Amino acid sequence: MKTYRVDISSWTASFRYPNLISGLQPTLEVPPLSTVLGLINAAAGQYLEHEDLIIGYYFEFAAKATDLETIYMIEAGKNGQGSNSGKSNVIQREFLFENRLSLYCADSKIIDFFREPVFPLLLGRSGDLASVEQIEEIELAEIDHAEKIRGQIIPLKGNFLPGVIQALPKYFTNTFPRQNIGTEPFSVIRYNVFDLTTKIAAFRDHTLQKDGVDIYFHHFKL
Amino acid sequence: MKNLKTQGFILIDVDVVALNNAGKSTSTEAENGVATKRIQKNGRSYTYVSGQAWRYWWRNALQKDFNWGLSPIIREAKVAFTAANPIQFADDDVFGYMKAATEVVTDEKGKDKKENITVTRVSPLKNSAIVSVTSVQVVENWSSMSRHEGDAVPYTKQEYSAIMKGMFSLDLEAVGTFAAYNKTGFKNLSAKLREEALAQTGSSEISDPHLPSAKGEAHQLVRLDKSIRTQRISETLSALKFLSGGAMQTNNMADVAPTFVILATTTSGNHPFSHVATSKGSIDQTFELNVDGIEEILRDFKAQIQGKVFIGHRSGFLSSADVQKLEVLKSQYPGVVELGSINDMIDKYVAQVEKQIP
Repeated sequence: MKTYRVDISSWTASFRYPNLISGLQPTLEVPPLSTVLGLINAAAGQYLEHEDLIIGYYFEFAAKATDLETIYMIEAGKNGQGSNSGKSNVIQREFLFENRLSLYCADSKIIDFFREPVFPLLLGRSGDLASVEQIEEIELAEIDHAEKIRGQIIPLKGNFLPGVIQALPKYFTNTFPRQNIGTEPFSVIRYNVFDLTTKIAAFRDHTLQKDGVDIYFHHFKL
Repeated sequence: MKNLKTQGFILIDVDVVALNNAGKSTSTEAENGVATKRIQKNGRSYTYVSGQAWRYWWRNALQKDFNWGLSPIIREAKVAFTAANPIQFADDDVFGYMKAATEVVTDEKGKDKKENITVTRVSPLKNSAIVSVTSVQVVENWSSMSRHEGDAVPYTKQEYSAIMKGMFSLDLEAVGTFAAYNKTGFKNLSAKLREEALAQTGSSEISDPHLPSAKGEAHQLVRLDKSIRTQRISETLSALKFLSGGAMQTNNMADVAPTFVILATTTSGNHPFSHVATSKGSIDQTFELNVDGIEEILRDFKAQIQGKVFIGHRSGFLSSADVQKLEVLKSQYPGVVELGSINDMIDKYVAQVEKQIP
């Protein structure tokens, strides 16, 4: 399959676990689909209504550390909007160091946004500035039974792969306040796991890691 | 709209510091041990300063050296927030805010009613953490508090010497430009503040190119007078010269003002200068300036770079080989690369950006 690949790197990144509000804030080891689609929106400078989007991605990092951070916890008021009460707190937040996100999409319109992104690209928090390293057109070989699934999230249902299982949103609405769209359980599989036999159809990128990574393509409709 | 951004890259060179601490040390045998922030990668340490701490230094420099009246912190019961008034307070404008509140307004029938005036502003200034370029040997040192009679109170702290890198992106279109419509992260002004903003001399309304309304029409943004926006942008960038800060200053005072800086205006949100400082050596211990990388950026992003790229370095910081490479780069790109001392380059970049501001 002919597709484009955008390589994005950042010094730091942090993808928060949904539903955890206080205490240590761990980071997911792979960004959820909503983060990646948000990144595309940042590059596009607008909210995109995806009728039919096929997208795959791979994420790796060099280290994980914990930062001490002041946060402002605002209580939810009416209609889910912020209220006037809350408090500041010092929390431990995990973050990832020296990261790389490879984004695969055959739609050149999506890819073109990364050639001159409108807003700064961020991988998580507002300080996690990221840069586009390169954009290239590549050919990926189809694999019927993927073995090298890693650095990705895979829908749990029907696949039942090991990994951290998390209910993750696929996208957010552009309403006020924002609503999750398509939350479902995913296996979050970090980049450095062993091969395993699956029945998943995927595409192999030979250039990643030592002997390639099988990229699963998510099919997203709004 | 050209979508202009200032893309900046800095290096700081510090000796025996503990710039940003991480609370109680869990690796010490001492009872009172303070740990410094660091990342362990492949068994080696890389020290860092949170992006949040860098912003704190930046804000303080603007207050001390540019007389910015910082937005007052208002405390009501358990909550604290800034005034969220970017018209009056430049730091609210540049650094962003969130304020959840209600305001009593008079409706059309003359009745008082409570209206939600929750406002948020995404910071036009985004900055990375400041991370050591090379691996760093962190040492644990003894100190004691011993000014009084009786036993001294001993404690330990972690200290290091390092060359550290940071980068930032300042959205030149967003400074002094505010939305008053209801979108998460976009409603910067309450209706009252919007009126106040429009009443300012020289302020105007412009169409928002990014977020059309449900009907597909452009929302209107309030934009302050060009002189105010220019002043806020120039001072934010000039403040780099006066950055100071870091924890434990009495014992570990260090100069955290940049010893190397790259400043450029781009038409893109992409930060191109993230890989210009690298490390080499068997344990990543030697700093190296990637001049070839800078050259690659000048070539690859030629169409997105507006005006000149300013590279400033403090004399004695770079090796003579690196300085020579930069001189060659300057001669290869006449009219594109300016090279000089830190403060001179910051001033010259600020003079350039003042002409570029829309």
